[in-house]
Amino acid sequence: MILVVTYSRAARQALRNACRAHEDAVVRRFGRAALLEATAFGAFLGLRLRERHGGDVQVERTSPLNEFEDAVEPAREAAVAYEARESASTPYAKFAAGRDLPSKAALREREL
Amino acid sequence: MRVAGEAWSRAGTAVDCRDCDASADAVAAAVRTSGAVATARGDELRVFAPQPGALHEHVGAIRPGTTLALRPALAAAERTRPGTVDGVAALADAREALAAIEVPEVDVAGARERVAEAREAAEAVRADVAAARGAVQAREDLDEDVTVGRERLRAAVATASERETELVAAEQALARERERAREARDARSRRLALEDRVGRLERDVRANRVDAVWPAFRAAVAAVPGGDERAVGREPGAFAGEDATAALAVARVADVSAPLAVAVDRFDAPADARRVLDAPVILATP
Repeated sequence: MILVVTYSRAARQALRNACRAHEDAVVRRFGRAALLEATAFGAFLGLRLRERHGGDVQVERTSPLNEFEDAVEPAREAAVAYEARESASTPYAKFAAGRDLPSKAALREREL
Repeated sequence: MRVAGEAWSRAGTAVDCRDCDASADAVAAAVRTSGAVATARGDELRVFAPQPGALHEHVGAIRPGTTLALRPALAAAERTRPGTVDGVAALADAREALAAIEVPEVDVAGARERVAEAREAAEAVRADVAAARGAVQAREDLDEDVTVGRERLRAAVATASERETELVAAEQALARERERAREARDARSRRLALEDRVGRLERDVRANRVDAVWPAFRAAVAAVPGGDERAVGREPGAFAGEDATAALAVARVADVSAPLAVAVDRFDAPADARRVLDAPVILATP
């Protein structure tokens, strides 16, 4: 999808107006940001705002996260195991240490 | 103050200009400008007086059909009075902090374009390398001379290597610009938060100003000719009377040094208007 984030009052207002005028192209709105459909029209809306408001508009392309992909699998396994822990107060570092789970640093270093 | 036509001049804190064929709007314009304005007759009219402030945009010309946005006018009137209201200092601080924010210039678009071009160029030459390698292989298989083919392959490989280097450089430049853009966005986020804060404080201060002068406004409505205190509501800003009456009362509430152009038929003499409004007055025709 197309993620549009605004960083000024004028850009935020313009984004609101664009979302109101083109509801069909809007997936979700959040305050000063919005997710637009991954179509050329969604990109068109985002790029028009960036053209008018320059650096006050950030346009990114997002992609869904498949947690079963090889690259993501360790993170998924770690998350599942950690959320099933018995003591809610155990920090992840301590939890991971005694098990076959990646350390926080290892997770941080791993690019997807 | 002094009001001057082409062949006459009148001075004082209350000047009657009802015989000049100058509307209240024309007189108010003459108060605002350092030059002359034209009367309905086409004569020149000049006013020499202190420069008007924001209040004059609201009550600089008071006519029978005057329209007035009461709350903004009251806020402007409060500003002319001594003293302050809650939020003014916080608003000044927020404005100062907002002005101090610097957003670094970042050119991510340029860097993105360079990467896209470099990638395209690198991919194009990869195909050339493959073709040249294929050609050499084919001739070798047939035991034919491969000197020219080898040379071509070497050249293609060299170009490919140059373009790969450019692609890597472009990608690194893009990564750097993205990092800087992220920092710039932090500054932009702080600026937006401060803009919102300034906006909230401006509304608060305006409301506080209106609240502060509301009792004085009530008394002023009772004091101006044609005014009726019963038209003044309990809630600040609630007024059921005529806008012209409200404008006169706002003028009375404010500390005014630049003359007001008054064209409502409620004062016998300019001095009466001056006394009631507690401001320099020029009487004009509507």
